[in-house]
Amino acid sequence: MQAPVPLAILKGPEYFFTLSNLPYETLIGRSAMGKNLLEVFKTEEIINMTPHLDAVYKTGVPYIGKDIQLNLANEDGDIQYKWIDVAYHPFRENDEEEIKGIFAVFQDVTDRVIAKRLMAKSEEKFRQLANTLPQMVWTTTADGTFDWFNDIWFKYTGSSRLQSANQSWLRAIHPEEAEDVKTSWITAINTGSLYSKKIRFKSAKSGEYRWHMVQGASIKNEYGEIEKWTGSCTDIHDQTLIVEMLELERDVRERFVNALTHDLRTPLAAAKISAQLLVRNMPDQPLLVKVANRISSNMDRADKMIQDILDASRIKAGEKVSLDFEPCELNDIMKNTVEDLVNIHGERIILKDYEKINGHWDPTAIKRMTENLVNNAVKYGAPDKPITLSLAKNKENVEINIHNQGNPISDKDQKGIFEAYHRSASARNGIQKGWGIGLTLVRGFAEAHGGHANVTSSAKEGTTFSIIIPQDSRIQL
Amino acid sequence: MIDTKNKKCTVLVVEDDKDVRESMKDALELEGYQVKTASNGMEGLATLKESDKIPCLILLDILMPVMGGREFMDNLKKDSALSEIPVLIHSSIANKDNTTGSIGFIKKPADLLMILQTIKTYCV
Repeated sequence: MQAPVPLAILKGPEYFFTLSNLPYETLIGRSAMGKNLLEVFKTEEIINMTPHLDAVYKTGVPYIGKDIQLNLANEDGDIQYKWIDVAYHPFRENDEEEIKGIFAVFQDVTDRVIAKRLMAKSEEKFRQLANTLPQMVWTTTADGTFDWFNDIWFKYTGSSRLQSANQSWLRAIHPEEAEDVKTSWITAINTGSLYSKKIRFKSAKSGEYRWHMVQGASIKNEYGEIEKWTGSCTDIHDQTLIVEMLELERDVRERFVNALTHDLRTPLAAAKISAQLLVRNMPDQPLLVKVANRISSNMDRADKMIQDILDASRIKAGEKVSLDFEPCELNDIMKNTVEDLVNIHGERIILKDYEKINGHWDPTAIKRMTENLVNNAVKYGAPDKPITLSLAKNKENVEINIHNQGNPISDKDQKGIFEAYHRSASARNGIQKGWGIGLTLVRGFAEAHGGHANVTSSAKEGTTFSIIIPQDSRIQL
Repeated sequence: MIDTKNKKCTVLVVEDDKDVRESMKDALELEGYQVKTASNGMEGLATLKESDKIPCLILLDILMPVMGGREFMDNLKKDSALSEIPVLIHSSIANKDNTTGSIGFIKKPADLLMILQTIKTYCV
C-alpha cells in the first residue's frame, strides 16, 4: 500500500509494524516494516511517543499530538531534528471490540515549526527594539486585531496589560475620531495599503488628548499574504498646534491684507477719476493739467505699492502669485520696460541687444521684476556707473541679468536676500528707504513662472541679479 | 474728449463708495450719458425694475454691502428683461474667476479714459 501521507499500523503490545508506508519510512529515515517498535527506534528516541501509544492501546481513546519533536539519529549517528503532527487511533479487526494495535498517521511539520520559531525570535527582537523607542509601537494580527503594544503605550495611555489590546486601543482614541479611525483602518486592512492618519490619544498623565501621527504597514509572507501589521504613534501635538496657529494667522493676515488693499484702492480710484476728470474738462489750463497729472501718477504709485504688499504677503505665506501667461517676445517687454526706466533714471540704464526670444510669460510680472531689480541697482549701486540689462537663452530657459557696479553684497547677506522684509546690512545702514519686499517679489514672480532668481556679487565683478525662467511658463514640471 | 454729447444712452453705476460713484456719474454726464446710480446690488435691481428705460451698460462694483456684484449679476441673469444688459466690472478685486458673465473687468484705480472708451463701445 502506498499513500502520500506517512502511515503505520503497529500491532500488539510490542507494537509490531504490520504496515509502514514509504512516506513514513522516509520521514523516520529507516525501514520499519516487519519489525517491532524497539527494533526500529532506540528507547530514548521514542520516550515521548510510547506513553501516548500505550494510552490509546489501553483505553481506545485516540490521541492527536501537534509539533512533537522527533530526534532521530541517522546512519552516521548524527541526530536529525524533526517535528511532526501525529494521530494515533485504536486498530481493531473485523468489527471486533478488542484493540489489536495502533493506526498511526503522521505529518512532517518541521518547516512550519522552524518558521514559527524564527518568527517568534524575530518578534522578540522587534519587541525589544520597539521598547527602546520614544514612540508608541504596536502590532496586529493579519485581520487588524491589536495583539501587542510597547511599554510606552501603556505608560502614555495608562492601559492595563490585562485589558485586551483592542480595548486598550479603542479606549485611548478621542471619541470624535473613533468611527473615522475604524473605517480607515478597515480600508487599509482590506487593501493592504500603508496606513497613515492623525489621531488624538488620551494621555493618562495629563488627561488631555494629544495629536499623534499613526502609521502602519503590513508584513507579508513569501506568498504575498499579510501576516501581521506593525506601526507606530508619534506625538505631533505641539507641531500640530503651531501649524494650526500659523494657518489661522495666515488666514487673518490674508483677509486683513485683502480688505486693506480693497479699502485703500477705493479712495485711490475716486481721486484718480476726479484728477483725470479735471484734465479732460480744462485742457487749456496747463498748470491745472500738470498738477492733476501729478495727482494721478502718484495714485498709480500708491496703487503699485499696495499691489507689491499684497503679492509679497502671499509669497511670504508660501503661496504662488497668480499670473497670466501669454505669448510674448522678451526683447519687446524689456525695451518697453527700459524706456520707462530711462525716463525716470536717465541714460545709464542700458539694454544690450539680443535676438528675439518668443515665449509664454506674464509680461506685467516680467516688467515688475525688472523694475524692482533696476530700482535696487540705482539705490544701492555706484551712482554714476551704468546699469546693464542683458538677456541670455539656453535650450530650456531664458535669463534676464541686471548688472551694476558698486559695493558688493556680502556672502552672508546674499543668503537671505530674497526673503520677505529682509534688508542687507548695507541697505539698513544706508540712506535709501525700502521695505525689503522688492526682491521677495522678484523671487515670487520668478517661481510663479516656474523659474528662480539668484545673485552673484564681488568687488571686482560688481553685482548681477538674474531671473531664470523657462521659455514656456505654462509648462511647469 | 469722446463726442457723445447728443446721445442719451443711460449707464447705471452700481458702486457703494460715494466718491467713486459721484465722480463716475460726473464723468459720464460730461460725456453726454444719462446716469443712474445705486449704492449696492439690491438698490441696483430696484432701480432697473422701476425704470422704463433699459440702460445700455451697467458699471458694477463687486464688494458692496447688502448685495454684492456677484449676487446682483446672478439676479440679473434670471430676469429675461435684464439679462442682456452688458455689465462692466469696476473693482479692485476683479479677476477672471469672479467676473464671469460680464463683458470684462477694469481694476481700480483705473484710467478714466480706459473706462470711458470701454463704455463707449457698448453705448453708441
